[in-house]
Amino acid sequence: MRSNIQDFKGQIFLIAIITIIIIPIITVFSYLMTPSTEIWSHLFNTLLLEYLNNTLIILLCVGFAATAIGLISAWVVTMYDFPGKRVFKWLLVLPIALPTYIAAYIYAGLIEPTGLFFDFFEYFFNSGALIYKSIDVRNIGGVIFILSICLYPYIYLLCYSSFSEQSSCALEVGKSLGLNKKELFKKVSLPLARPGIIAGLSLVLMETLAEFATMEYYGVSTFTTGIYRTWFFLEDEASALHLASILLTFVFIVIILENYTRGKSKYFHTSQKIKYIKAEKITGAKSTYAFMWCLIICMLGIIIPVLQILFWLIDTYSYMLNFYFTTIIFNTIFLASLGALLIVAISMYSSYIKRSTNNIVTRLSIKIYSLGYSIPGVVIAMGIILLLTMVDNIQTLLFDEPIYFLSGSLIGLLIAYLVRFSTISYNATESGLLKIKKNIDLTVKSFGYSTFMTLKNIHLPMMKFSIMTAFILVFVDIVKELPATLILRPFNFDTLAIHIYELAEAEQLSNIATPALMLIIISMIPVIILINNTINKKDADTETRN
Amino acid sequence: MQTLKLEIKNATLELNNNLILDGVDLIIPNNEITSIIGSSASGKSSLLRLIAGFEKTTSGYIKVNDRIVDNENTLIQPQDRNIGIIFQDLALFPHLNCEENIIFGIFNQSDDQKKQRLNRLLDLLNISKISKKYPHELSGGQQQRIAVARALAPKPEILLLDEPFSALDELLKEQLIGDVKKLLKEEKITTIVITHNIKEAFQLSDRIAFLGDKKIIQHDTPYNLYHKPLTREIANFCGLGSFIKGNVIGANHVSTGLGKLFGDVSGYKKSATVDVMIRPDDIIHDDNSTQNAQIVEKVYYGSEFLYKLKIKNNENIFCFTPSHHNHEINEVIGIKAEIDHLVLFEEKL
Repeated sequence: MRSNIQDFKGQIFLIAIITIIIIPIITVFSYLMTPSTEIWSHLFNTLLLEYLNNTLIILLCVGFAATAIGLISAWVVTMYDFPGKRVFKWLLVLPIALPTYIAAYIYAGLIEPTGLFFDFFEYFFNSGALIYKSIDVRNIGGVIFILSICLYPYIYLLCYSSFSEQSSCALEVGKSLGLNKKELFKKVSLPLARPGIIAGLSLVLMETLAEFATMEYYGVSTFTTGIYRTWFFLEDEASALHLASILLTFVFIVIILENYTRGKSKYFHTSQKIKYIKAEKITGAKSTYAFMWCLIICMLGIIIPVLQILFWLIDTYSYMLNFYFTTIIFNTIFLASLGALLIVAISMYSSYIKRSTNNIVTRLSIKIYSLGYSIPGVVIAMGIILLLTMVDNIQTLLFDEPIYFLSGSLIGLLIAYLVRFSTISYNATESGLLKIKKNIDLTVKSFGYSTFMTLKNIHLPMMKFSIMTAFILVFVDIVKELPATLILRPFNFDTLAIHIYELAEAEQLSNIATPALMLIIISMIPVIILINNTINKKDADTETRN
Repeated sequence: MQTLKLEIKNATLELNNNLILDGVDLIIPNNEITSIIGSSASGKSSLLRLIAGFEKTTSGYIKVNDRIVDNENTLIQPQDRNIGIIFQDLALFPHLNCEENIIFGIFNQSDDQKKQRLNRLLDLLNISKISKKYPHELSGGQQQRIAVARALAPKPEILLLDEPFSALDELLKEQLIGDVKKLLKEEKITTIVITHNIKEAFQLSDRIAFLGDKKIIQHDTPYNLYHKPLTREIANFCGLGSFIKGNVIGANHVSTGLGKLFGDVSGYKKSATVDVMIRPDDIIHDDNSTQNAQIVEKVYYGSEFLYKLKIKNNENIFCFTPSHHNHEINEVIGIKAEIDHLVLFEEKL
């Protein structure tokens, strides 16, 4: 009986969390049908078409370019052996550590008078000004370039896993049936990699829809920037929400399309023993092409941006010593730790509930739980402002005057992070808990251990790694997060991301070097974990199997 | 009189409106090793979970050491039953080394006592050398030994084993079963083993309980289970055999395609038609015998051949033969029936 009550309490908790997560989303979505204001009809007549146009063009081009880059790179490094392959294999993942908005600032800065390109051409050809005039990245093409080069690693990673996991048996069977190389790729490898490509592509599209700072800086109007401007500059809440609900519709379409295209095609290995693919050694022109391809992608994705930052750092490293900068770092670490602790604790508790009561209520709750990750930060922030205003209004009703305890505090921000980053944390804690088999629990119970002792002596030590992973992932995502933080932060509360944004808005690009480098270094941590878990692990497996 | 360790009376278990066990009676004396066998999904594991206290009976009772642990009004929690358990997947703690795993369940004892107990178990199970290693560094057999040691360390009243040896290869299994049996006898621990592998049950147990149709059908020594099975199901479960038709002739014999077979026919009317079970070890190949049979199939086992033979009335029987008796299919060979116990069943229509 006792456990039944506990299960019940757990589910109530879960439903409460889900409510917090889903209310902002539903509130925003409900504005899809609300009647329009005067500004709205103006928006509708002038800007909406532009937003739609830009958003669709960017989605289409980024989707195509990121897939092409990710797919080709993964194919080249898994199937062929050429000089430098071992380095490229993981170097190709690194652009994922570069927040898109930082890449946007850096590429804009490259051709400006303090930038690498400008100086290079000025110094050797005395033509810096010509370069500055003839190259313009601050347009829709620039946005597409930045997003493609920063987001392709999602597809690269999933394709890499897929290609290297494809048992070479499948390929050998294909060969024995008389397929040539081109046909093998088309008829065996590509179809097997399809679920990975679709999953990666949908991540890329979600990130593209959610992108704010890049569009804003390059002056390309899309939904996110439109929402921000309508809300804060035109101060038309209803129209902003209406725009947000349209953006949400796009997100839902991507989610539905992903589910639909993936369908039932979850692929498993059909042969018992996985024989990993042996890369084919290539030489001469082929090897040069492969090398050049990887080099160019890595140059664009990570090497040039980092060089530019280091170059700026020479002039502006003293920025580090600034007192205000230490406050910013303290703020960032404080906020990210607090958020990560909260989110990991909640997701751990949720995965425990899933373990003890795996019924329809729990499963549905968890499904909704995972929706938050795909909602753009701007939209979440708006939903939460609405929620907090509602609470403030209730307070007014009860106490005659609003206390504004919630709005303007960190609570709104923490809820926003909870909505957006719970999924990553939950996935990590759940996979950690899944590794602890039920029989372990029963064995411990048969020895007479209490629940608390079991948690302390068995579960926590066994899940240590998963919990740490969850914490690091959420921590880094919070540090990188820009739009929601920008909107919901308490007055004068600056974090690294906000600070970079403000420096860039003030056109002090070379000053972003210090905070940006710091942010990139922090972002590298989970990427290194990721590389260790996917690429290096597979290598180790392959070696032991050979 | 032997003291009883475990008594289960009329135990019924219902889970989600499914009747899993229906009136199980089982009595297990002190210090005995009992195997519970039965086909898969017969409810063996549920019975084990019931004894451990992970499930509660719907009706009936369970007593350990003459104390009620489970009936309509009482449910002693698993942790208060002092019952050790070893699961099929062993459930070793991956973050603890072997020593730490083994002493995990010992409470309220000084470090010296713990150390003493640990060393004794390490010795008895031959695992002193690996005591500092972690589970993932061990072979399957070694992990099994650690699991046994861990379960025995707190000196449980009863040890439950759920398909403990099923993941091991044959050679390792026999060695381990021998060692474990010796240890259990030395430690005087009442043990219940769940298995679907009859060979394991024969080697390990003092008695075997056959679970079929949601209740215990036969609870007997391994010898009797093989030679005096109460039902066809048990007969089939315990080993290869075939059934031939027979007519009860006199007070002590049956006439069959193998000629007259003598034995106990009580319970059957004169001239009744019955099915007689013939085990491969009942039939001996003898070139000098006047009785013949034709080879229909043969399987080579290294030291011996298993022949499937056709006798009169087109009935089939099996026979093990030392492998130097290599005969061709369709060849007719001499056989002799040497049957100690007649195993008869009502004719199957």
